[in-house]
Amino acid sequence: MSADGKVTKEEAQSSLGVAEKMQWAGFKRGMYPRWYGALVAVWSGVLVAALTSGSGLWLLLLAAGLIGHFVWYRKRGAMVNEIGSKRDLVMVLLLAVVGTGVAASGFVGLAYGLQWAPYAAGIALAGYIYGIMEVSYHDVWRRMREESN
Amino acid sequence: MKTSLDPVIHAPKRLEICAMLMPLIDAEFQVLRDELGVSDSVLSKHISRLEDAGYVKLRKSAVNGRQRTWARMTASGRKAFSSHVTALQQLIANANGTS
Repeated sequence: MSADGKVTKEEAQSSLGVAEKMQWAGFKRGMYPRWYGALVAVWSGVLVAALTSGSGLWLLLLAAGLIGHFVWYRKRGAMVNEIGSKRDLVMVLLLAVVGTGVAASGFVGLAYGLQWAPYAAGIALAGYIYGIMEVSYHDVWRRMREESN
Repeated sequence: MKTSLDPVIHAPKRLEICAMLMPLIDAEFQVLRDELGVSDSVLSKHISRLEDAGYVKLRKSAVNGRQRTWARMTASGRKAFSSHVTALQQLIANANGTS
């Protein structure tokens, strides 16, 4: 900005270019890789299977997963904001409802003598979470591309 | 709609900081410093200015006895950045219209 507060067209274009470049830099730093989505899905499935089958391992799995995520997050030094709209918020709420439902079905199935129910619940949840993570991954990339156009 | 340029954000390094923080929940001081290619003191100065304006919030945490600082954009910072970008786009559009 010049002393009289005027900004030329060239300055404005240059500023926009820099802003876009830096937004991409931040995004690339903070965006999780696709394998991370798969890992979260597998972890969630195993956790639910352990929890509903009555294995005491679930607490250990929960702690290991949370600590692992925390360490990974700190190591990366940045995290993309995935919740960019009301639709994303609905997705998160839906995930919580489906997750609780699937876990409950594992408990109920076991109560009815279906020994495989906890494992089926774990596989179902892992598949569902993997799907959500994939959708979210592509959604965030699409949002970034739209914003930079 | 007429929007005006924000002098706090318009400074090149502060514009870069804001732009980088926009898609993120937060970012560590070192990450910002490396991406911007500036010294700790320069980054501190600019972040303080943004913090004073209420655009950025800092959070400190200790890891293995080392203090680490994380910065995130506030809601007003996000709004100000978006308005600033809109103002830049309007300025270019107006310049194209008059030339």
